Amino acid sequence: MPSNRRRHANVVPLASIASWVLVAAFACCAGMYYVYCKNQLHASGQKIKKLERELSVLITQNTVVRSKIARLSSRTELQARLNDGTIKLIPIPELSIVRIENNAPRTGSDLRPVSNERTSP
Amino acid sequence: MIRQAQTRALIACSLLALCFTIFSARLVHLQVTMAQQYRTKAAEKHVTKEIIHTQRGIIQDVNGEILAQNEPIKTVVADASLIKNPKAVAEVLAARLEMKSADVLQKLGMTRFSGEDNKAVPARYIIIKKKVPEDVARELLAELEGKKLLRGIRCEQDSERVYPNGNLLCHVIGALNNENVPQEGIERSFDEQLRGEDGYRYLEKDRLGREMVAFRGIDRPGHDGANVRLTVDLGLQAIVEEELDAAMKQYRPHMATVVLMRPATGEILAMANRPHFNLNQKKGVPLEHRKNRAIVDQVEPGSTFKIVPVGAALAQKVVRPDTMIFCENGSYRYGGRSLRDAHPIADLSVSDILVKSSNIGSAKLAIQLGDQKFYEYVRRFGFGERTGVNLPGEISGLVRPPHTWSKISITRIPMGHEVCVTPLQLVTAMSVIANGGALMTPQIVREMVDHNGRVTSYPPVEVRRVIPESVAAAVRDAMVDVVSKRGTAALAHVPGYKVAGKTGTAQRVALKGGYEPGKYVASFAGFMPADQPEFAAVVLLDDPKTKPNAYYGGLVAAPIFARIAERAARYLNLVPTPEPPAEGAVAAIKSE
Repeated sequence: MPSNRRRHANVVPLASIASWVLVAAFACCAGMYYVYCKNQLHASGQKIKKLERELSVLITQNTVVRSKIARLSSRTELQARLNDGTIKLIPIPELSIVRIENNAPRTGSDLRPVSNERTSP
Repeated sequence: MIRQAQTRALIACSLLALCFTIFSARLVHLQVTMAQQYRTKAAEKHVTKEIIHTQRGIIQDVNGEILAQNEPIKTVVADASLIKNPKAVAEVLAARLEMKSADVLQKLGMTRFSGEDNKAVPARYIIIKKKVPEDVARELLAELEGKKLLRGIRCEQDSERVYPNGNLLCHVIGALNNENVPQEGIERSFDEQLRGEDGYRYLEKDRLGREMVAFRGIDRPGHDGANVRLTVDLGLQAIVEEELDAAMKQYRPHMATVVLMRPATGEILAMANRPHFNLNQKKGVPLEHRKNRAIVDQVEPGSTFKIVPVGAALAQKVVRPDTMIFCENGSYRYGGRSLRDAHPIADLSVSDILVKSSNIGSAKLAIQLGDQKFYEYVRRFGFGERTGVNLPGEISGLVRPPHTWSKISITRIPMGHEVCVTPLQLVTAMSVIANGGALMTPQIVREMVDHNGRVTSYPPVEVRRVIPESVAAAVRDAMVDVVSKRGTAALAHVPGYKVAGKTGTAQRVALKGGYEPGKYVASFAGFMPADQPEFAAVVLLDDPKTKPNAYYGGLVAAPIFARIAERAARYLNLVPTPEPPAEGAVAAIKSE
């Protein structure tokens, strides 16, 4: 066989190999990316789940606290605490009450007169 | 030789083809024919339907004070098919849930029959304990997770209906039973709106029981129930309940009812009955205590009913307020029976028929109207039909049509006999006089706010005009005189305010027919301030235990009204009614 033909026969098909390597690398990357995405999906899912759980716990705790507030500030509870002396109510003295006379005629200045006296006993 | 090789190759190929065909057929069989079955089987293993629980709407009073709300609780549930070490799990559960370990272990050992496997398999849904407080459930799950025993145990979110005010307004709010089914009140009549709509989603779980969020199936979001705001003012309600408690202590009646209503709109401001019950008590409440007697009990109203013949006669222009009616000196024979007045009087003006509560006078007004016309007005005032309040179980009372009346019915119905009314009907009729002649539908719900924040309001509804405004004013003036020293309800007077009202005393109707001797229903219906009424009220006590001859509405019910009205006026900051100065004072001012 002539030497130039042999040289020709032993030529490494670089372009072809390169293209196959590229294809393989691309496939590999695509595969890896797919796995990565899948992983991310699961990780995000777990994260979502965790956040949902935390949110749910917070909402529940909030509801529990709101419920406690409503119970402790309810009229019945306050009355019970008033009765057992835990809290005290001080009556507002009559002199501290200003009564607005709805039926009093308006004056020219459009100011509404007020009085501290009851109109009848 | 070549032929032989070809034959062998053909056989080998045929065998291979057959093999592949068989495998393919099997694959098609598995993937196509049996697909649904295996999909279901796989789903049973990994997919669960999770219900997204929603909150029942809350109930508030007119000022936003909470009357009914939800408290989150957990239900601890086990899936025995996933539990590897039942004994260890049972010990943790028992310690945290305050149960016996043996009981928990017994529950975890529950089985169900699997038709597919034709044998008993571990149950997949076992309720270990209900109504577990949130903090206990949280600690339990943390401990199970720490000991790696969580698989197969989960806590389902649930909620319990709680009523912060216990027995306040119990008959109006109603309650849920242990199965969260509404029994009465607003809880029942607005159940559909309060309940909301549960959502769901399909979850896929891995072999460790963890949800794979990426494979979440179809979602349907839940919608919380609407919040209901009542027209009731808890401040007024508390006043009413306190006074009612005091009355119960003083008179020990069989039952008592007070209803406060805003006459202009028909809004119910307070509604209380005795006996009552605690809304948080789920068991052991007698049925009698659960009754909202303001709408489900009917009584003979007695003289409070006299506003009907007086109003009707004036509206029909049969008489004028100052027309004198001969009251037969206290004894009137009609239809072969005698009708008597408590205080014999010869002549009374139409107004004074109310002031003196004359049976004969009111009977004569009804006779002048005639059966049909009088009956028409009884119905126009709202008696004999449901008021239409948004509460369940309301009855219509009892008003018989004229063709069923006896000869004396026309003389007995005007004084509130031979008819039965509910306390709510009575206060609604009283509101007709107070608001100038319009019959309003009683409103108990002011507005409803749904999960999107959409507000549904319940505006006042005028059913009909019963009497002209001038007639209502005339009746109102007469009723102001009832609450004076001249009238039967002097004890209903509230210092500083002009009060209008009418007393009623009726014999208690016996269940077997007739009347129960010595037992009475004392009532008072009125409104305040008379000129611009802020509230109308009815106070009704069934069989009050009093001294002899002290059972009258004017002596029993009127003072209760006065106490409630005085406190309500202070609470509502009502401006006292200016009293006209004495004539002498006017002359003195003029001389200056």
